[in-house]
Amino acid sequence: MLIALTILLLLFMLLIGGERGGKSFFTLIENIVMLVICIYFISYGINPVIMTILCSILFIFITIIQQNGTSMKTYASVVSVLIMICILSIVVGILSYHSNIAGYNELDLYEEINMCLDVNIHINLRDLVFTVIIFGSLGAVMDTAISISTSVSEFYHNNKELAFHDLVRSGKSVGQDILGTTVNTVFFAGIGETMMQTILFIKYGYTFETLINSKAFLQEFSLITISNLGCLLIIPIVTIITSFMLTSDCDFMIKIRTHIQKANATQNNQ
Amino acid sequence: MITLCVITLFFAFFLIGVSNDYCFYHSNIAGVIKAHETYLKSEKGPGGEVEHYYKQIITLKIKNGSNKGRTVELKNTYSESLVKSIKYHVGDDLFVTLKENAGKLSAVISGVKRDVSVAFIAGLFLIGMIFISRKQGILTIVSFCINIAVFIFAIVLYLHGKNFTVLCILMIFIFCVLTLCMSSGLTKKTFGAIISTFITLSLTFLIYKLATTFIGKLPYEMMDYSFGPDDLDRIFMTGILIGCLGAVMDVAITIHSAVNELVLTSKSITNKDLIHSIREIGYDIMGTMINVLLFSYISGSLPMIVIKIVNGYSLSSMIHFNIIFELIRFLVGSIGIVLSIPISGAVSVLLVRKGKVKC
Repeated sequence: MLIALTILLLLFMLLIGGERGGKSFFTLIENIVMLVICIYFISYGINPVIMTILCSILFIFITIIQQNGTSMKTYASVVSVLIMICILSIVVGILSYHSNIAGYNELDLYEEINMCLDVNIHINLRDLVFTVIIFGSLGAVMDTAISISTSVSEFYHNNKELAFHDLVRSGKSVGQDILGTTVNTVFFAGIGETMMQTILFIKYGYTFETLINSKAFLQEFSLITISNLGCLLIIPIVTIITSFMLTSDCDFMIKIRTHIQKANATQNNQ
Repeated sequence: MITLCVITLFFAFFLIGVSNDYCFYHSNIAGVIKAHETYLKSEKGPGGEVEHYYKQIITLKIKNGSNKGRTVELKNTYSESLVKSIKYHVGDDLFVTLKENAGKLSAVISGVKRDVSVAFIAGLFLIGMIFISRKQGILTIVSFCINIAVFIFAIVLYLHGKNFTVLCILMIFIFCVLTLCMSSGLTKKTFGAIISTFITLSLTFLIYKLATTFIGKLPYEMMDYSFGPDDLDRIFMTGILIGCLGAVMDVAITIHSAVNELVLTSKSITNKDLIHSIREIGYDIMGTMINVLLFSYISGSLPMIVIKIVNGYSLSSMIHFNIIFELIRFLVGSIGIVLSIPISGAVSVLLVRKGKVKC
């Protein structure tokens, strides 16, 4: 069943996206392989936080640079996603320190399989909360970042006279359009996933009081809300950074720009 | 700037209020005022890892009820990895059950007070939403609230024995119409997006149904939380469709807006050029949207996967039994995304062209 669906997905992607669809599929496979490797490293006892940061950087490079090529806009989105991860880490750090959301929740404890699992795993699950939330938001954050930086650089290329402030303003208006839809994607993906838990919450007669203090609820809620928060905060960050990188006159930016032009020129010659 | 300060201040007060809302709770709450850890023992894990166990003696101060102000001491054991146990810190608030025996108070912990964390992230989200996208943000939040209410109402109806399939179709219909109308207004493109979303979802559903009937049944008994309700297959299917819905709506509205924009800016654009631009947009969306689904679905089950790998589960058995549901949800969702590109394209071109003939 899994294989059939995968082949079907590949077929559709090739049919509709052509060569670039194949490229996207390849990126996807790379991401999955990276994820598996990361999980194995964590299980062998390497600190989850370090692993998360390393893997996030790799994910960002694979997804943004490889899928969309080297240009000013991809560099800008990489930088802003990295900044975003730092900000989210602070939020997750505060959250996981104060609320004890690591480990089995009260619903997991009822499950038979979990009773026979050995819990002496020597991996700090509190650090794993960090991994879960950062990875969970990464996809949505990258999506928003790349679409906004694309539109901002599109504006700039259509009218090179635009100054920093104009670019920021237009980026903001694009951001508002994109925001609603991305937030909805994450929201519905989350709701679909928590279907089972919600049924159990209602079946067991959770009151509002027990619900907002429950571990199961907070685990799901924080995952959805923090990835939405990521999509939200990335908008101003990516707008400002892309506009700055496109319009700034400092030496470093000019160097990067000429470097990109050279790289693309050699690619075209080949 | 002033409003920002006012709102931040308000948020801080709100958080302080929530962290001191002891009088609203009926159960007893106690705060940890002292915690002292001592090493207890070591146990061998499944792979030969050594896991340390610690004993904690914590002093609690009761914060509500008739025993308010009294202190009580209790013991707690926790392991390093915190899988089933919890390490308490000074400042944590806990729900406790109190017992009084000959003037001596004893307590059993029944849970941790987590409402401050919920308020913290929810508040951050609300403030961000309102500041970054003002009116649109408020509308989105309102549509979230209505959607959640509809969702809960549907599940309550289901638990009272109503037909789940009908509920599912109704729920998806309401979600889709409401969200799209709220986010882009009552326009022709919204109408087009709704139609394309429905067509895509029906096709995706058909593919999923064909796959489950012809290729093989899923091991539903291995699903997370499967000890609850009976008809797991239908619940799982509804979950897939709802998860897919958000992404499909996103693609549909993006393509419809783009086509509208293109037709408005250059009235003489030919169908061929339109289709070409739709394909271009499609390429751009496809890859990143699929990644969104990948990361948000797989990440939730990471802790479970790690625990199972340490317990010696092989990757193939995990893929076939444990995370198969996440994977299928992801694959079906991605197929939905890819399918929705040509469908939305076709519907939008039809709508735009038909409108022109009428004029």
